[in-house]
Amino acid sequence: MQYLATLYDHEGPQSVPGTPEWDATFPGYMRFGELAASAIRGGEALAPTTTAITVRPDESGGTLVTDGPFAETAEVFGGYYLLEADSLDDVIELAKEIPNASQPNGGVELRPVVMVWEPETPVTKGDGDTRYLAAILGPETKADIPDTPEWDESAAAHGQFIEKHTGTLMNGLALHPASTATTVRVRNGETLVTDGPFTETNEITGGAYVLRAASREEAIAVAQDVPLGPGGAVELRPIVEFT
Amino acid sequence: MATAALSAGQAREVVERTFRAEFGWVVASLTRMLGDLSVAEDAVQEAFAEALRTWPLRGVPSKPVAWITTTARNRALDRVRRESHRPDKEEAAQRTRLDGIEEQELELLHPVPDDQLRLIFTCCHPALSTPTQVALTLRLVCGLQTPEIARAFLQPEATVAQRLSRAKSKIRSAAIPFRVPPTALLPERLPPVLACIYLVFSEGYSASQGDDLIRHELCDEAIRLARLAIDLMPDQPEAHSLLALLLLQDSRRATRVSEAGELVLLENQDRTRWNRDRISEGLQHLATAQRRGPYLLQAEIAAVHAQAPSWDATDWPRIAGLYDELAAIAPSPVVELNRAVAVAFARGPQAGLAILDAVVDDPRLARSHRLPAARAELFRRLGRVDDAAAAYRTAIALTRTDVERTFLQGRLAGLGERNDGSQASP
Repeated sequence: MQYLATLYDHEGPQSVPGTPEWDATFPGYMRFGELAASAIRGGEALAPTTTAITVRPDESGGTLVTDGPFAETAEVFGGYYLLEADSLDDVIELAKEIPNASQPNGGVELRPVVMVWEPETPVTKGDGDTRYLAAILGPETKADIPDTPEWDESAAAHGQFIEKHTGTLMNGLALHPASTATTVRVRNGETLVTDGPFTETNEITGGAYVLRAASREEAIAVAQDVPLGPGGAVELRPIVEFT
Repeated sequence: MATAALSAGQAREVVERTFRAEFGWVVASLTRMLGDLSVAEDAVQEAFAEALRTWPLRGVPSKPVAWITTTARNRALDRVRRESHRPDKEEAAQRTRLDGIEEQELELLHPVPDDQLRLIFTCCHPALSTPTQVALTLRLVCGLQTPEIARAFLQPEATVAQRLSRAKSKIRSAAIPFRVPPTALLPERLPPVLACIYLVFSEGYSASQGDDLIRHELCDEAIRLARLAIDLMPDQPEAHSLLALLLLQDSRRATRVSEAGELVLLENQDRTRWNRDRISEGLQHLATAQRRGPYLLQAEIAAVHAQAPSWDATDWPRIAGLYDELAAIAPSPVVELNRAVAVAFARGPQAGLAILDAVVDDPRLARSHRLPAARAELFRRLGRVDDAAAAYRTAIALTRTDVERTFLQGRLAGLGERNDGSQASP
């Protein structure tokens, strides 16, 4: 089965591509990449939350677009891996090795994946395109719990959304509810495994999409169509391209 | 094949007895076979419900456990076949396992001891919160019902019910494995298991509901589980401390309730009937234990009692000192309650009452009869008869066991009489 490992840390110079601090984090991720090569099914580094765009419905049926993340928290997610593992114990063993787990304020949140979606014809990024992670955040609703009529309804809405934006959406995934989350931290060489998400305010709730867009406006236009529950929002985060 | 000559009532008793003794074993075996805890639990629960319907009418089968196991397995098979909306891969995997079950029939009817240990480690997985771990273990390993767990926790039933259902869906969705962790992981996986075993013992030693003060099978179960933990990890001092604690407390079990079914306080227990084997085994494990953790301190407290020739000759200052130490490293309202009692003997009832006054508004004790009962006792010893009567009444209203209710009513009735012989406070 697959788990989404969301990487949390205190945002700082090491979160900003191009800084020496950012470069200094490379060897750690490279090591993890080699160690977990057979388990890694995907993963991206995200630009800092200063570049985030939050898209949510306003009260009059329109869309409210704000610069910045969905919630201002001390620790934020800066990337993710999609990991294949047989059990939670196996994926915890992997998560311990991700540099974020050992950072003083960092941690890795593990969430079981309900399903991964990929288009039949792979969508590739055009030259002028930016890739974005469109993460669904906000309060959990019944639609986030698999095997409920609400979930089925929401899945149908996502099907229509995917169809409407064929050629733009590159992949997506649906997650089990936040109550199935497990957070892994390593402190002084000791692994601390705890129940629940890393933070209770800005965890990804339903799932996320990766999309490509030629402009910020184009990305927002796609994000505003993402089916959301009450109080939900889409946080758009540019994906860091390694060349 | 049914044994005749059992009345419907007796048949129901057999179902209940089988449930208490075998629920955890059957759930554990079936979980290993099915790879799905929730399906196993539901199936076993259904099998017992079926037994409760049919045994009083048709008689008790000659092999009750085998009947339960087979019925539960069949229910599980039915359910997996019914559920066609599962992801194909998952369904296929479960079908393969279920096909194997037919062949493993013999094994299923003779459960593997490790199964229950696997079940405990799954229930006590660190990806579940501590209260959840304990609730799950009590529910699945020991077969306790939700209301009993709620009372053991001093928590509302709905909270426990929700906790259990979330935990089971997390075990399933997040694939928490059904296994004994590899050696390298044991140091981080054992502490929650020990905490759980202790709580199971506490529930047995001082039952939270019904007309039995002691649920003997839970005490035995906890001691059995603690021994298993030591077999698995002989080098873990806390496991030895825990077993020492359980054995030393348990040595007094037979004397805690009178023949008439009444609660007998430590002070009035017949020390010649304390279980010497339990005490010496407990003291042995105490010698093996080193780290001054909460179990060791509590075991030392129990050891002081076990070795005291009489109530009067008990080393109360030492017990109060150990409770002070315990309160410093593992503070909780329940520890404060016990500390108050010890301090009352070592330093006088007024000093004990001061400790109780500090926890009197603690919401975690709001549903417990033990706080008002302890206060009543100290009021009585201070000669504050009206305060004592009021506190006894509160305790009587809160207690869930008939035995304790009778005991408290006796104390309340005794207030009007002259001093019943207990020592005056220093």
